[in-house]
Amino acid sequence: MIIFQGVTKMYEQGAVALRDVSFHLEKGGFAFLTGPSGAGKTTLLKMIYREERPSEGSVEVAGKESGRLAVGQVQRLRRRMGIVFQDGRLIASRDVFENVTFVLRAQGLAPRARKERALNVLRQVGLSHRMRSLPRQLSGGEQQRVAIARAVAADPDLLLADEPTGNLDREMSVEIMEIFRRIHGRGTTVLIATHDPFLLRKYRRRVLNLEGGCLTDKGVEITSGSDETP
Amino acid sequence: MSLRLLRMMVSDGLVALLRGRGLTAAALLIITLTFSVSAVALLAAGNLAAAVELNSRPGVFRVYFSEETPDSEAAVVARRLRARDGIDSVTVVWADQARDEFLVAFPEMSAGVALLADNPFPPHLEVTVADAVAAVRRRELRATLGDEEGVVAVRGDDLWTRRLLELAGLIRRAGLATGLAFALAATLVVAGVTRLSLASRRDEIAVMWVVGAPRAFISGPFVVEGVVLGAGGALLAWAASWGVFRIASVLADAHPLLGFLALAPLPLSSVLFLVACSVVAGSCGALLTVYQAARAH
Repeated sequence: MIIFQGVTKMYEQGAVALRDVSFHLEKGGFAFLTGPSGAGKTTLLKMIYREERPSEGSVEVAGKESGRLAVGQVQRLRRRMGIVFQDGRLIASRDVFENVTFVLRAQGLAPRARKERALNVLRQVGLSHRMRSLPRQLSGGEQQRVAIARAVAADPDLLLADEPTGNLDREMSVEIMEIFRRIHGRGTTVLIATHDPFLLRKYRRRVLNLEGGCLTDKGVEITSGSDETP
Repeated sequence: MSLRLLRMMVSDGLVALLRGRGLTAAALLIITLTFSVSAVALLAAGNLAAAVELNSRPGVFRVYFSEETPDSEAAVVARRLRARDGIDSVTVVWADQARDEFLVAFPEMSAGVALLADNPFPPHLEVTVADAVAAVRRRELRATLGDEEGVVAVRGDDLWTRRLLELAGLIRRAGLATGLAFALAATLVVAGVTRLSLASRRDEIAVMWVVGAPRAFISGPFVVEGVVLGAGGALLAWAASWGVFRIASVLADAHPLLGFLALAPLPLSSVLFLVACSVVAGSCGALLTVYQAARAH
């Protein structure tokens, strides 16, 4: 699903965000991307959804080299992904239901299908009773669950999450990880950037460790079903 | 582009216009004011040309004789003129007839005319030139009429008609030119509005990009906003010109001296021209800004 080959990302000021990163994440795989703050986790995720291009090397997503795609192709590729941002990026002026249906609308779904899909995912994340609430009326955990609902609403092939539990307590983090686990169970490839050692210990999954822009550990591909610590 | 996408673009564009109703109203006002100038110029030009056409008879000359010229001599000149090529008819209008015709045309002046001791209207010939005679030939004919025995003046509408029609043409061209110039102004207004609209929806658009919304879905509503603002401004400008037309009609009806005017509203072709200019301006303004924003992504 994702292939990084010798990827280096250098910014104009000379700062190196990623250095010669190579790894391969299978279709249907589940991996954590970890490392200290500033290690390059967000940059790596941005390369997958082509918000950034590599300075050197190549990034292949779903069989396409993302650096060579035209704008329309990039948008098509992004429609196959669900992205959970560190800050949620919910639209403040729209309620929970609209935040979810908005993405489905952007993807061209008919109104009835949008409504059904949104209700379904909001039920999955336990927020069907907060549909008409605005983001500011929700707790941090609820906002993050809305962001997850939005990311999975379109039933993506690939789910990327950037520190989805960053600001949440342990109980809420586990709750959110359970949602990811369920989504992965449906065959979605999942890549989660986190530096929470608790989650890494609890969910024994493949770990890609980044330090100073270098991939120091590519982890081992673990098949689903053998992942969780009891 | 699917019908559903088009419907979404239109509804999102209209919702955005309603959300920013203050800005929408200000932009509409500016576009209306600019296009109103063109609309009123086109209205004035059209009516001036129509009034000239209606009230002028370029093929008719009046040949005036000196006071000493006897009626018999005027009749001889009339006979001689009838025999010339290119002349349709020659009518002798005697002094009393001339006065009566004037009083029929302007009855409110009868009191003033009655106060005069002598009839101020001289006898004259009304010479009608055949329609087929070209303007140059008409001017030559008019010059030779002045050489006839006892003739002191030859008057006709030809020169004034030409001048008034040229003036009407000038106003019309000015209206069209200002229409195009103001279309540029409208483009800039819409570009500004679109920029503000983009800024106010920056978060939304950023999310749209990363979730893979098609470009048309993102930029379409802004283009719809531009088209609606442009077309709305032009239609309001047309309404303003209609208001001017109504006021002018009331004034013309109330004032007898303006009775020669047969006013008409802005013709459909001019309305379509204004709307087309403003729609193009609106969509160009929006596209320009959206294109710049898209390049930044």
